[in-house]
Amino acid sequence: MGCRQASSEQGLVLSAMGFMGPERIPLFPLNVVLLPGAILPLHIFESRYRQMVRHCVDEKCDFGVLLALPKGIVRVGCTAQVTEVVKRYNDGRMDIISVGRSPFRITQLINSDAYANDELLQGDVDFLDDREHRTDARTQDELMRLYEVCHTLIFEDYPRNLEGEAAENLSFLVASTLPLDLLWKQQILELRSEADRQQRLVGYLREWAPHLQKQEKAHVRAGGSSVN
Amino acid sequence: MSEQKKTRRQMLEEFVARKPDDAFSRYGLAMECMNSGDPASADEHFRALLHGNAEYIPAYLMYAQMLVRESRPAEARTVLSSGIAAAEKKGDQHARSEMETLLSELA
Repeated sequence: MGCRQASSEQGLVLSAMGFMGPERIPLFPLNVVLLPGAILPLHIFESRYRQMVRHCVDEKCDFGVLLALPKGIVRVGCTAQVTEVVKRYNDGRMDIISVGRSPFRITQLINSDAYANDELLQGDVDFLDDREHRTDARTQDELMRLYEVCHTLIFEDYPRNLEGEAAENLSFLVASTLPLDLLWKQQILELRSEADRQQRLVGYLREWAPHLQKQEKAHVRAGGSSVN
Repeated sequence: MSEQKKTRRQMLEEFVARKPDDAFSRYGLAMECMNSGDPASADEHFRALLHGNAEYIPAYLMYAQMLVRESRPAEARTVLSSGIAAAEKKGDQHARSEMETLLSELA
């Protein structure tokens, strides 16, 4: 089973290895969109994934997380690095903590029937780098303000993870922290510019945020008719 | 001695104090006051919001609904009329339709 070396400086590692083309990695379809930097705790119980995680831990390499939809898996995912095996059960199950690392696009599914046959799915993937890193200061400021308020409304606390966060990671931080629609998160994952991601999130949060506090009290009766 | 956890309202008040013109912070605070049974403060924040950000469409309907609950239908109608005009200007047909429905029920 091939897989990507886990490293906080994966780009440098791959350059040193002379990496040029697609790479084969094990794939884990989930009802989750993993974003770079996001923490993903997992309970691993299926045999194929227990084997995959053991391999990734032993070889210090990553696996790929992909959003599974009713019509199939999406083609853009994010690698996950196992940072901690929290618990190993006697029957082989595991609780692990993983963290999102690098976005990738599947160029070819190696064994596309594997998933239905309870086998491990693998794919050849291209890793996706951002094409530019510039951001717009006004958009970024608006995103931070929207994030602060949304976070406070949802979690009844300030977002404490903003401090010291690099500007180019803001969109992934916001999208992974707030309980956004999965398809919106997938869109953020697929954009290859932080400026575009921030702009998309601002547009989404502007629409989404005003609904956070609407509740039953918002339904008034006027003239005997309910108003929704 | 550990710091006492702030309430959501206190946190929103901080955001508004820091950035009084930020529409969403002000809207969040107005809604928080409204939902926690303080319509007088909610009224104050909705007014400030719409004075400074007349294009912030979601506020009109919420404010008008609160005024209806406070048995102030005439003021609710005024707010809805302004909101319908603002929504029309912005091309927000859904918000316009919601406000027109409530306005017709108040007629």
